[in-house]
Amino acid sequence: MIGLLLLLPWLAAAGAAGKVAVRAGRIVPVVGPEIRDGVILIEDGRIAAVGRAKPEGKEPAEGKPGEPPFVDVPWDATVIDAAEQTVFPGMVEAHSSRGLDRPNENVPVTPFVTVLDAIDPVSFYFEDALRDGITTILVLPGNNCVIGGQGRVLKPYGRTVEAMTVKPEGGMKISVSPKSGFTRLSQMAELRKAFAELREYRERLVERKRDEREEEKAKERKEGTPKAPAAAGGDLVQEDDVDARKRPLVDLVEGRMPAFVWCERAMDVAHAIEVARGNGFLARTTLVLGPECWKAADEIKASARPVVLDATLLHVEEDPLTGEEKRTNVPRVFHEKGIPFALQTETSALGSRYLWYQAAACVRNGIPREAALRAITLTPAEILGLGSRLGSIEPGKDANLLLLTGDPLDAQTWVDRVLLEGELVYERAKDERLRRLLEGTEKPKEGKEK
Amino acid sequence: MIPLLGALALLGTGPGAEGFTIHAREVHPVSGAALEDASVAVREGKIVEVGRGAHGPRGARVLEGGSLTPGLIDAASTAGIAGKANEESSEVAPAIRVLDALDPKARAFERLARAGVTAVFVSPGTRGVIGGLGTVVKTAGESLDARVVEPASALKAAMGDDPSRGNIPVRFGTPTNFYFRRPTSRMGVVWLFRKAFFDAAEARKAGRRGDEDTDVLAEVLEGKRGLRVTARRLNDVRTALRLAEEFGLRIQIDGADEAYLCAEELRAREVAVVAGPIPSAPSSRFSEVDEPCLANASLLAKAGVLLALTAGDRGGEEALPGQALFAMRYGLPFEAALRAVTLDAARILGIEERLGSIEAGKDADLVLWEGAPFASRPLAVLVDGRLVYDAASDPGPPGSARR
Repeated sequence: MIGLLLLLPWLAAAGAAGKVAVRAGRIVPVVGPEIRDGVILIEDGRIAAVGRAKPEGKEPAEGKPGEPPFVDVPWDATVIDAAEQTVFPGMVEAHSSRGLDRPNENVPVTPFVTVLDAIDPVSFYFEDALRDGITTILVLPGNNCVIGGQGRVLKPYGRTVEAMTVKPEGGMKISVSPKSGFTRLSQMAELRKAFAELREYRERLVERKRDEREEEKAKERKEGTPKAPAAAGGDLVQEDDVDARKRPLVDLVEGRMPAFVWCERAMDVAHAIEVARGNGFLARTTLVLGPECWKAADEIKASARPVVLDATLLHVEEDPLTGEEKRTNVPRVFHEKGIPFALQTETSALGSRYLWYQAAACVRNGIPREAALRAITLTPAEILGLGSRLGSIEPGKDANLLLLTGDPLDAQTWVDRVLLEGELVYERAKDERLRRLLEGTEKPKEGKEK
Repeated sequence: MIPLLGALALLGTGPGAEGFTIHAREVHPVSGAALEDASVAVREGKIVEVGRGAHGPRGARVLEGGSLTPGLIDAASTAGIAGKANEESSEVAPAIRVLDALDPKARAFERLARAGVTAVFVSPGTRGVIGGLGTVVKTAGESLDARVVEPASALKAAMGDDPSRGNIPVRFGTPTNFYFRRPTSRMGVVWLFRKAFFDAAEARKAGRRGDEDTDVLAEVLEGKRGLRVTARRLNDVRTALRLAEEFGLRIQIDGADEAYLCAEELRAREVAVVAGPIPSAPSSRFSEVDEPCLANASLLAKAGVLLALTAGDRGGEEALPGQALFAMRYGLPFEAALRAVTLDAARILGIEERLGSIEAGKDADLVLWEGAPFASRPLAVLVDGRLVYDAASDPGPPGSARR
């Protein structure tokens, strides 16, 4: 134990370079069966192998097919002892507008702005995210927009935005629900106008390029040195030809940028699908839904798009005739329809500020545990286009691991340690702020004049 | 004869008349150790038997679940007050009764019952220095009268910022509105409090009586009636303790976000605390406390303070079971958390003879949980032996009916 403590600073300093072996009392890999007495072998920040620890002394019998393999701990690996703990993949939050200086620009259509310029790396939000076991976050502009700008996939660790970045092209934020001061009519008009202008711009650009090419050809003919003919049309346009302010939207409609479309109410869902389909980016669209949108589940199912659910998992409305309260368990609707869903957190609530709590709330209300675990790990990872790197404990994936004091969905469980790409980045024993929140300290108060 | 028969028939089909046998893998009587695989028999609104072989009257309905606890009690609720919770025409209004403002049909009661909360202490708000008399009511029942456990319970007082907020000191000219009045500071709040009790004590000494307000204050002075004081900050808690000593008052404290800082003192003086709701984000809605401590309840319990938990006006995930669950996360042991929302809450309210534990003879206010208390959802909630919430017939969460 003392040896391990001595090794920790070295480990942190050495970063992800070496071999690390995590001895886990229990592994909940999200994909595949749980493993008792397991080993996770990490090489260069990635998971190299996952399996059962070899019992000491004797050579184990060959496992039955389907059972996890035995994994050797190499002699040169640093061992992290989590024999009393449960190892779970780092959780993924697929939509957040926190950690930003301000979530939205005042101008309604701002595809050219990016959260890169507004992220505050020392924001408590990131600190809390790490403490609560969220290791990947898509930070997007807020919902109060028409076209809000570009998001970024981050890990909640690092002193600069660049160091935090997992994927720079996080996605474009679009809202079909009215921005403040807008109605649904003006919102949709603004959105259609933006895409109509884009279409026109691209057509003009291609035309201009074609004209330029024609001129060049005429010149070449005159000078008698013809070059190889280039294809006419869109491929004449090079990246540099596109106005930087238009480029993000061009990336969106040409398939290089994912879209996250905010739908506050069920009636907005059809608009979102229409806009995405009409402009050719439906296949890369994720719908970010308000609580009422479960009513549009059939349309969403038909569009085959994944969704990010609101942090409020129970939708409550009053029947206007009987006055009775009608309550709908939102995730359950999506689960039963087979629509992939990711859960979201909300900072100002007792439980739903934690992703694990959201998943536990799903289980409490009758959703299978497996599906609930996926909604905070693999599904959001897939939504971010990082399904091959994140969201489960499998060989080849990033070693983003949570060492938990108990079951991931138990309210009495704490994140004890966090490994990010194999690097130990959080230890509860050294979490001074958490200690203060839990033990309390008397601190001087500002005198308030009221 | 015929009217008598009619009355009998009514009795036969009346609320809770048929009785229940409730079986759970774990029964938490709170007054004693947990029982495994035990049953509770309910008849005519009361618990009649607890134990392995307990069963209700012939034809009793059988309910089964993971665990059974007493109905939860919120010792500082704001539920069901129709309109304003404060009578602002006077800063000192001891004889005012919050019961007169309760709406039994308020949706808040329905939500509380669904969450497993079967009784609440409701009091006037914190706008008055002495705000009036609280009441203890059940969250379900035929009429308000049937629900009342204690029509006039503890007297409510408030320290700190709330009673003076918005008041304007008279400086120059004529007061043009109602808010040109005392108190305008913490000092003024305490002055009004002290004056009220001083006058009442003088009147008592002189043998003068008759004024309703004075009567109520005299009852508090004589220790016949509890005094609930809202004090959020440490200095306000200390002020309340000082006043209590000065007048020999038995007080209990709620809103006590910083009470953990003087837990030892509170225990030594036998002052009970109603803690909560747990702050959900540092320095959020709590204007008076900058950085609240998440472990307030657990530190108080550790010091041996008589403790209850409250959800205040919070619902949904922040309702009382959520408060207990997160108090546990922040260090309160399960047994202590359970006591704090059942028997100890009842003790603080002085109703432990009737409520707060699963014992023969007590009111049949019970919560049957699917799994562990607080962490799982309630399958059934009984108030006075009547099934007031049944997950099996809940049209709400789809698919919730699995039993």
